[in-house]
Amino acid sequence: MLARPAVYLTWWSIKMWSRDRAAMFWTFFLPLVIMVIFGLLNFGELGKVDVGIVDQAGNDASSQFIDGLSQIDALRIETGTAEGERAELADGKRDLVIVLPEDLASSEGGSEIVAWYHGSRETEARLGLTVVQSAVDELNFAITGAERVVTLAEEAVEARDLGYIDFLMPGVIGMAIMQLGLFSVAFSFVTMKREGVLRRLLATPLDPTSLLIAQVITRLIVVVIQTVILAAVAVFLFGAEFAGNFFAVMLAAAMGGAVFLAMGFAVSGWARTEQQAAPLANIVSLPMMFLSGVFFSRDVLPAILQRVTDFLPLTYLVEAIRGMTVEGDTVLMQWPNFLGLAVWLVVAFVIANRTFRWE
Amino acid sequence: MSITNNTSTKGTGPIIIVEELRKRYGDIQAVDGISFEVQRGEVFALLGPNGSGKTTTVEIIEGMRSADSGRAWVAGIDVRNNPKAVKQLIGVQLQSSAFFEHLKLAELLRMLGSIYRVKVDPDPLLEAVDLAERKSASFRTLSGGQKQRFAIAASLVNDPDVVFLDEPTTGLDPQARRLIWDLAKTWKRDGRTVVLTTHYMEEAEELCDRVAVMDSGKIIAMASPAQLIDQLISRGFHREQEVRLATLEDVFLDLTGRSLREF
Repeated sequence: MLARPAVYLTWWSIKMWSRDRAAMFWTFFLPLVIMVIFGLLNFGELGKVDVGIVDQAGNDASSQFIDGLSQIDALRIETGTAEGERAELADGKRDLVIVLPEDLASSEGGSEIVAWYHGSRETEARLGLTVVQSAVDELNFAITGAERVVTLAEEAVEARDLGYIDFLMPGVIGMAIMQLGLFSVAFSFVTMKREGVLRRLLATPLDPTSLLIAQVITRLIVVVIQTVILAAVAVFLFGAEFAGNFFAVMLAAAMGGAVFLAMGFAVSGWARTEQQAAPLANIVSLPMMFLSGVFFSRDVLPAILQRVTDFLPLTYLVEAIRGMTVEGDTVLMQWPNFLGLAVWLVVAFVIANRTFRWE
Repeated sequence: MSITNNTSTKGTGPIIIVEELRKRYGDIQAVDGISFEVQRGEVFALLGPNGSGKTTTVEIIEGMRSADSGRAWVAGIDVRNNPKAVKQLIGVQLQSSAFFEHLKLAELLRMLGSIYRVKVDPDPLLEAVDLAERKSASFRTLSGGQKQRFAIAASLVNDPDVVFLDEPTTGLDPQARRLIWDLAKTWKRDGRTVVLTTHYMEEAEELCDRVAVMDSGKIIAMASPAQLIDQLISRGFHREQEVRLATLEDVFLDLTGRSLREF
């Protein structure tokens, strides 16, 4: 007498999964590539103002001035010749070019710093100019020796240094879980149904739920492995934040996995062939990939779209994981997102139960 | 645990009893009031043209479909009430079987065994159908004939009392057909009951103790092949063709030999 068939079937289905190269590619390789590419692009840097400096003075004052500007986070500083920087400006590689004259801070009559900016990038140029203006004031104080009556004290409110990768990691993890849940089950069950594998199993004393349980457990194990790999790469390669409890994040991942697996079963119940399953799974997954805050914040969406996308299952999943990894939230603190996932699980399960067929 | 009829798991007597089975698909009455019994250790065939209801009938007995009315017992177990218990006792080869991808033949047999909660040694099963050398192959890479043979090996993982073969030799070359006939004869010697469907009369004549001829969902004749032939002759039938001492198949097998061509 052997143990419950469900246990064996799970073991066999893990074996099958590990031999499925296509599944390996979609599950592990592709999300990893997406994260590495977006991680390297580092969209966080896009907000900076590119400032080119032409240092014609080459004295202490000019190098101090450049040093001072380099300290400012909002600016990306490059130095070069007047012709060179003008060309860069024309190419759109600089938002603003500052020319420090030869007589900077040396003559009694005062010197003039010239700023060129690209007409089409006025916003960035204005921002840069404001910052440069304050640096010029600073320089004036230094030269004239006047006492500062009012000073501005800067204090960073956010203690931790959050970058784009911290935003991206939970997004890619959520996206990978969605793709795995929707596509792997939809395809493998449609294939089994079409080829007659399910019919053959119907001729055995197998309890159909044993097969479903084996398939679901296998996928949930894969979800956990996938999440660990993606998080490890983000944390160790790109220095992403992982503030929350590891097991809490895994719980969110497994919960999301269950939601999308149920959706995958619903798709596979409806579709007779893989050619029908693919577009349907894409119709479900593609909008969420761009509307659920995977790659960019939903703040940029129109207000009405933000309200609607609040209720997407991927939004709940990504925001739960993001709350945990970035803010260190507990499961309890993330209860609204878990509730959202639970509601979707019930909805998807009911649909799957109605559409799923063995033959 | 089961409703007992006058069938039982041990001893002689009928192992399958079918009573007034009916099944309708839309406008088509696929099975129209069928009754028969199969004795323990018998090789029994349902004969009939395509669409006569053979497959639907056996699938009801196998517990894969439910009948609209009528009942069927296997080894005393009512199929409708306890299909799982029936499935545990029988081996099934479907007209077209498919198995999981990414598992080797030997692994597929062990996986199927785990569903019946028995430990399977795949080697003798694969040897019996001449697939021992393909035990590490995947089902998809097999030829049509090899798939059919593997499906038969798979129907034996649980050491079944009754083996159901649904058109087991359709599309096979004469060598493979004879291998399956030899297997069926071995099973009979082992005391297994074999129920098969076929539309090859030669196959029925070679293998079967009794046959039931089906047409339009009804059994129109049921007896041993020899009795059916005698009945026909006694009605004054004369074969137009002269009796030959050999057939073209005998010529084919004499020329190409009896050993299997694909391993």
